[in-house]
Amino acid sequence: MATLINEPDTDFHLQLNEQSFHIPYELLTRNFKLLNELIERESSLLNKKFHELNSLLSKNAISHDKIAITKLNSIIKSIDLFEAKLNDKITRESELLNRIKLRINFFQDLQTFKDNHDTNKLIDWYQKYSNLLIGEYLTRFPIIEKSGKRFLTEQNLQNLLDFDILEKANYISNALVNSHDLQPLIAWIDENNNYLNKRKSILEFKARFQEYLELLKLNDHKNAIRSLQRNLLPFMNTNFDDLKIACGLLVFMENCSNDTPNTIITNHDNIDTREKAYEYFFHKRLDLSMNTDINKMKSLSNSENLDRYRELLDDHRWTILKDTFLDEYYSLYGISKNDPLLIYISLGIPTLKTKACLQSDNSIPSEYNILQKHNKNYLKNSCPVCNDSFAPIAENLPFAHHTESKLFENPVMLPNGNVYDSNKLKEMSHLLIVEKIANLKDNEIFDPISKTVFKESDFVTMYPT
Amino acid sequence: MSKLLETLDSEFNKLYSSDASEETPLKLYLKETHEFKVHLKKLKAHLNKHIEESELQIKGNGDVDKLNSNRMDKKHALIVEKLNRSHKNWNNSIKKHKKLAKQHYDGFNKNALVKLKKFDIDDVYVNKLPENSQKYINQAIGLHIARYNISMLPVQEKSDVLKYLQDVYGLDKRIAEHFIIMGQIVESLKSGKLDSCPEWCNMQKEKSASKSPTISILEYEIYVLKGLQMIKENSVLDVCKYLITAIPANTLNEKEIKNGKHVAELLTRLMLGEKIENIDELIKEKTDLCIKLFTDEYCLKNQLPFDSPLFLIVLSGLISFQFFIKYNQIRAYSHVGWTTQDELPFDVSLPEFLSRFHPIFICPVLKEETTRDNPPYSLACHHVISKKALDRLSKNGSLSFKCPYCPVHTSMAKTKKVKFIMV
Ligand SMILES: [Zn+2]
Ligand SMILES: [Zn+2]
Repeated sequence: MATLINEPDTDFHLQLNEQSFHIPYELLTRNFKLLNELIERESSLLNKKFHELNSLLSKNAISHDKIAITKLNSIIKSIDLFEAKLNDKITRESELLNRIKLRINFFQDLQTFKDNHDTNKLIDWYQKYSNLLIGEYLTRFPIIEKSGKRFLTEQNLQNLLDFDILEKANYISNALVNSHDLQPLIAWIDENNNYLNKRKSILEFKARFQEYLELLKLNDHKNAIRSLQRNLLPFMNTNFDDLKIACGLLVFMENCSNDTPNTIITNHDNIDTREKAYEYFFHKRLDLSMNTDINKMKSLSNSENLDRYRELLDDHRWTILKDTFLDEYYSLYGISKNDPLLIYISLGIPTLKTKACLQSDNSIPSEYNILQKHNKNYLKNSCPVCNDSFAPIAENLPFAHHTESKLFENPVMLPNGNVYDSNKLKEMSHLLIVEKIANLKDNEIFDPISKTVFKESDFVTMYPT
Repeated sequence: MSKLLETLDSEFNKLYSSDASEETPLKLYLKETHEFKVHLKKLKAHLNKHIEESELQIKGNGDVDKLNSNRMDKKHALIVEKLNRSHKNWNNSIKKHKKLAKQHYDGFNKNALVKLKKFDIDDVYVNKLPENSQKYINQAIGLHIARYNISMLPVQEKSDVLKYLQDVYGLDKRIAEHFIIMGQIVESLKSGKLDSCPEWCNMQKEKSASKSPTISILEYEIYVLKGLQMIKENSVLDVCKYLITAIPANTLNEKEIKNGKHVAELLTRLMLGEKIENIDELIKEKTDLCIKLFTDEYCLKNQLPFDSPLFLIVLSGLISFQFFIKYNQIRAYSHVGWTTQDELPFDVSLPEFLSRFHPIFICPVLKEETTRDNPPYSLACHHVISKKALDRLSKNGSLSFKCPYCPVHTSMAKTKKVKFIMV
């Protein structure tokens, strides 16, 4: 089907915006899971209570019936509470369904404008769409708090973006990078354990590893060893090399520090085999199924490892951890890793960038303002790529590919080699006369680039094929 | 027609229990839980009554009335039975609704969502923006907001607006300043005050000797808007009088006389005593139109970008997105590299208003776009080719040659470097 401005069809738009349906759906299933847990808990509690109620009533005695009334009261009360909790979840469900509905409506609008061949409405729709991208950008990289949400709320577009999800990603990332705080991340990992396991994610290992490193940095060797045992041991099979260097770092730091911590084991020198190292750190024998190279544990505190240790203690690991987290987080919700606005810009600039862009000799010198005084947009370089905001970004991006010339009607050449649209040039000169800006005779025209006057009879018709 | 959209919509509706209802299985379950509770309360009242009666009976006649006691036992048993039945029903209702909800959710995912997942937009982010882009993009957003949304800023005073745009988006005060008056006029239009916009129009007319059609249209639309506003608060007679007498003098020369029909129609309806039902909607629509006409004209007159560059770039990105995705898929399939050239590997055809910023000349001989280093040259016959092509045909200027497109011969003296200029 022909489109109005060569824009993609609605199907493609939907595919581009898959995440705006994926996210609320993911949240719906989460809500459903919580709701199931709630129901599970409540119905087994009620079963128990009904059982007790029945045994009281089976006596068919006034005294027992009276106790049964209190039991019944407690049942009613707990249903009351349950109802309130249930209501929260149902409200959440409605809110999420409403998000989906509004988004479907948004794309139905698009389809309607396309069907009606209403280019103006279509452009308006794309204005909204751009604003959504801006809203997401401002939410991902907030300049001031909530500026994205405020921007979209002002335009009544707030239901088309899942701020909660993007803001949570920021919250956890900022805690990591700015405050070196692992708690929000670890809480999120706990909530999403199933998902992470399914993906065989290394996020939890990385987070726990960082936790261990931070304890070492604090010289809290006791808790470091505990953290190693409790949280890193389960990764012995998958991350042996990292664990090896982790243990090496511990030994190294213990050797370096003057006050030896109160660890139970004393025979430091004797951990040169994997079995012994394992026993040393984990207080039990190595499982024989962990059958990797036994000599790997040798040279634990070898000075060759110094660089590696330094790297372990470096703060840039927080940034790496943040990136790993965002990878998992974004893929859970089907969100792109890169901000969509940036992606659109990275495609839009090369699509618009011509060989004439970003060249100063191409635009009219700024001191030349005869026509600027006049109220016409003539000769103003309105190219978005050449705009001050985008020129620096566009510099290293590719050019558009053109197979056909895009010129203008009636090209005529002036004696100085400048080629213009003949009608436009005449029209412009006419305006200069009307506005009494230039003193031109009837058959004279004005070349705004060279600022010279020519005769219309100087026009040479061109055939640029 | 969009197949995916239809699927999405129809599958979405299946999340509800039936076509007519706005209720999901879970909502129905909540309702039934509530009914269960009400029922339990009722049964509790029965049980209480039963206890009272039993106590009365014991007090009344110390002996046990066999018949009565039998009746009381039956009543007790009935309460117990009803309690348990109610509980059982409720338990069953959980199972039923949970199962249904799960089916609905899974169905929506399987039949609709999965079909939307066709590609990963990260895959086309090949030409990465430079590291320092953020500052420029913020600026562009500031300009975008100043252009379209200035009246929506949380601050209104001129100095506050300037400061806000500068602090938040790093937008140059000199640029932002241009938009202040525009924002104030838009704001007054929005709040239904229609004086400042015609004042601005008059100022423009005084400034310029030539007539601007847009200003005439704008004046006309403001006049209609005012009429619509009056319908809400004034008598029909007043409105008619206004519509007939206040029509701006010079508008009828414009093509938009056809809009005059709109007024005529409105007048007729008013005089026939018809009630204009959707008056608020009409006012809103007209206000938006006036705002658009005004801001477009304002930007034009003040040499401001007619559209925000950000919007134009995003729109171009959106149009080319399909080509990038397609190219990327083919590339992955055929194991070719992205592109080694500094030019996109495909042609994207943009609409007129996105492709008229610079003239583009493709040398018909070499099929290459001309550049500053390889500029276009006019031949004796006024056909145009690139310098490289010219050098090749003339053996670097040493001989005259026949134009590749016509029989005319060209000597180097007859060639001329040309420059295409778009106005
Ligand atoms: Zn340009
Ligand atoms: Zn020729």
